[in-house]
Amino acid sequence: MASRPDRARRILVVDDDASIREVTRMTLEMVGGHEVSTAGCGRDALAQAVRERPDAILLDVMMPGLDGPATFERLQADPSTADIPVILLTAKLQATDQARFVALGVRAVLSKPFDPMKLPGEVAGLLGWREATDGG
Amino acid sequence: MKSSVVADLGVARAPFLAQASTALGRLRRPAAGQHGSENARLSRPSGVDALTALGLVLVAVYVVRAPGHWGGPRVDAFFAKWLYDAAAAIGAVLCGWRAFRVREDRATWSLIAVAFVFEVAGNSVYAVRYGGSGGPVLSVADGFWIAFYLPMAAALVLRIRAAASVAGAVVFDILIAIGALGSVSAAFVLQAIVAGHGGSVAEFVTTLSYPVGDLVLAALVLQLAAAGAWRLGRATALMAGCFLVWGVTDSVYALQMINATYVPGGVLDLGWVITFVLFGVAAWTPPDARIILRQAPGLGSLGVPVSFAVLALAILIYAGVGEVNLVAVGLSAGALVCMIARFVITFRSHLMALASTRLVLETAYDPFMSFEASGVITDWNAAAQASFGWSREDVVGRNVVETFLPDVRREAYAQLIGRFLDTREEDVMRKRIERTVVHRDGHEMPIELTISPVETEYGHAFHVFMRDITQRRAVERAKDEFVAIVSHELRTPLTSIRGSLGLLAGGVLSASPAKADRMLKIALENTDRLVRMVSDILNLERIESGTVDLTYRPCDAGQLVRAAAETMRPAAMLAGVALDVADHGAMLDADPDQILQTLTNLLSNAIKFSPEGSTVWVGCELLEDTIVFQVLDEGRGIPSDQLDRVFERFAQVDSSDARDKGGTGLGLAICRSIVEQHGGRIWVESGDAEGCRFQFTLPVVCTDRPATSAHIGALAPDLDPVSFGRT
Repeated sequence: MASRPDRARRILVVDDDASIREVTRMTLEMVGGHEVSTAGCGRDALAQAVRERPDAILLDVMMPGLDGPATFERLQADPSTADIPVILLTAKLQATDQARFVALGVRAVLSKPFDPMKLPGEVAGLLGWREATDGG
Repeated sequence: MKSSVVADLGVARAPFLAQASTALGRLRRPAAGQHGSENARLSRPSGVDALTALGLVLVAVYVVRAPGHWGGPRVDAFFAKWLYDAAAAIGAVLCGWRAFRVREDRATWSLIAVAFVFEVAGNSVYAVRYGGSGGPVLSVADGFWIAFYLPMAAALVLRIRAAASVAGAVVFDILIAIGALGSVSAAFVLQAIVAGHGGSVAEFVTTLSYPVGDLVLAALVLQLAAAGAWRLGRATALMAGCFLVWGVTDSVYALQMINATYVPGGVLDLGWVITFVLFGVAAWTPPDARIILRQAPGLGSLGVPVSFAVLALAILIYAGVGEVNLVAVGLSAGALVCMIARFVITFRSHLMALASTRLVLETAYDPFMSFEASGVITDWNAAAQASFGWSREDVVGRNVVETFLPDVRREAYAQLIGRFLDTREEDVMRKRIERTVVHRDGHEMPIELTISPVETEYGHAFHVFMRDITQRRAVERAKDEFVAIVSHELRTPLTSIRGSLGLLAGGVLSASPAKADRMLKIALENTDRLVRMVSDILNLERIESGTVDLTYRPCDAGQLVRAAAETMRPAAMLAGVALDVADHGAMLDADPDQILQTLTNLLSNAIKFSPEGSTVWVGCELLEDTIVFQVLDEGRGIPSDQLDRVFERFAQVDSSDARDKGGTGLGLAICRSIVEQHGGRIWVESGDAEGCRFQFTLPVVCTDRPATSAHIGALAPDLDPVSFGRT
């Protein structure tokens, strides 16, 4: 099993695909041991981020209406959510897109599909939670 | 004349042939491998080396025994005769060797070798019968000597043919040269022969044959030079030089003989020396690397102006002599007539070529322009006008850089042309390249072009064939976007499948059977979704690429509507949606399977987005020559700004809804492709929260043709033409 943090983090998963939301939630809860909430669109994500103040947000890129990058920019513009680290999850393959997303200021860009047994560890490493893990 | 002097001439020539064939030939022999396999065949053939050595010995002996060359007494005639024959024989063998060993120009060298053999034969016959001098004016030897000119002239003609296509202009150029040179010859040689003639007609003709032969050779050499002999390589250039020196030497020799000033072994013999030296060098020179085929010499060819200059010189000489020379006047007049004829045919051929070229360019599908090295546009076709907005009248004379190139490209263009003119580097020349140019209305457009540099009589120019690739670029962009979208859409269900199966395989759900079952269900649902999506993508691609052959048959629109409703009834019942069918029936020619798929797609869409308890209507009616199919629902509708997008691939008003309901985002795109393939039109009307009305039309081709019962039965065997109740 992947490493587990010494304390549960609250992560907001934003994806317009219900199946992916559910699988990601299950992954982060069962493998990472985190506390997970989900949102199906960017607008809901903004409201939940303000309300829940999660430790991190996993944000899908391609969503109808407010897409991932636009949602991220609004999070950054809001002082109450600007400091929440954001990781983008994308099924787009183009390296140019990924470079553009990183340039926006997100912590990292992860590709879909992902390995559920490794995803929590990768998220923790990218967000600097590694020192807090027990290595188990 | 020639018969009486050739023996002396031969004595003078002999050693220099050997010299030419050996010493200089050896010096000019190319290194093995320097010019490819043909040159390897030229390197150190032992027999030729032996002959060369013999030639050197002959040269040495002659020089020692012929102090007459340096102001002392001449070498005795008998000894010189045999030296001459030996050297001529060596020359013939060397040229023959060249013809035998080297494939290129074999005929030319063979002819020269034959000419040399004639020369040797004539000398030998004359020497044997008359002991080297004192023979009659006309003898058997003259036959060989005169025969010498025929292969020589033929060899020159071959080289001219290699340098330029033989056209009427070339023939006239040669005639002009003969007339011009002949008029000079007439003033000094021919007239003297005519005046001094006192023997038989045969003797007169024989005597006249030599200067005439020299005249023809000189004219051919002139034409060879004018046709660009230097372009063919070193061998031909040297050969042309040989003939030129030969002709000049013979002419001067003839003059000296008439004036009784010729001294065998004197300075004039150097002419033949040079001739033989050059022939030796030419025989040793590697074959021409390539043949440059030129067009028939144009008005700017050297032949005409050079001939004209000679003719003018001849006229000046007549004026100086102050006597009327009928032969010279006749030749001059003939040259002038030929010159006029030459101009006429050349001008006509140019006009015809121009007309033909313009026709080709004007009817070409691709834009074409030409411009000079300075950038001034000189030609512009109709396709270019259509593509770039400039008419020929507007654009010819303008600068290509200022007219077409964006500011950022101008410096690069200047460097490109400059580099080509300086170094002839053709880095982008004669290649298909893509650049951006500016349309007359100011918008930039991508083009594909090929630039071909050409060398004209007026300097460098560039011919450019272009093609507007705006549409192609758009298609490429659309294709790239489509691939990116397809990739994204395929990876989305794969993410769920990979994630759920990964969790199951990782064992983290072993203690939670309910969660494990849920993950299995997600994997299964997304697998089905993936299968549907791949199927839809392939189906859409087949329809749009035309690989699906539509099978047009007479069919009843009403039956199709009822069949589609029957197909979708289980889904409607599951969703709690009522299906109402309202058709009026009409016959149409269509592919019933494809129309049925269109209707089921629309019905499926309507059912998925209809709230439980609502109704979906499907029907058709005949409006003049068009059948209108309709599918109405009471769903939440489509925002007005999305109405045009819903038929695009993967276009979703709200993708979360679409995915939750198992849509692939391709159903409406498939509907549009099918309808458009049938020559119909599809659209949707909707307002927010007012439901949707999808409609499509199909043209009615055979309204009076009844449907066959077998066909309709196969389509919808158990139709119940009533409304389907809500479950």
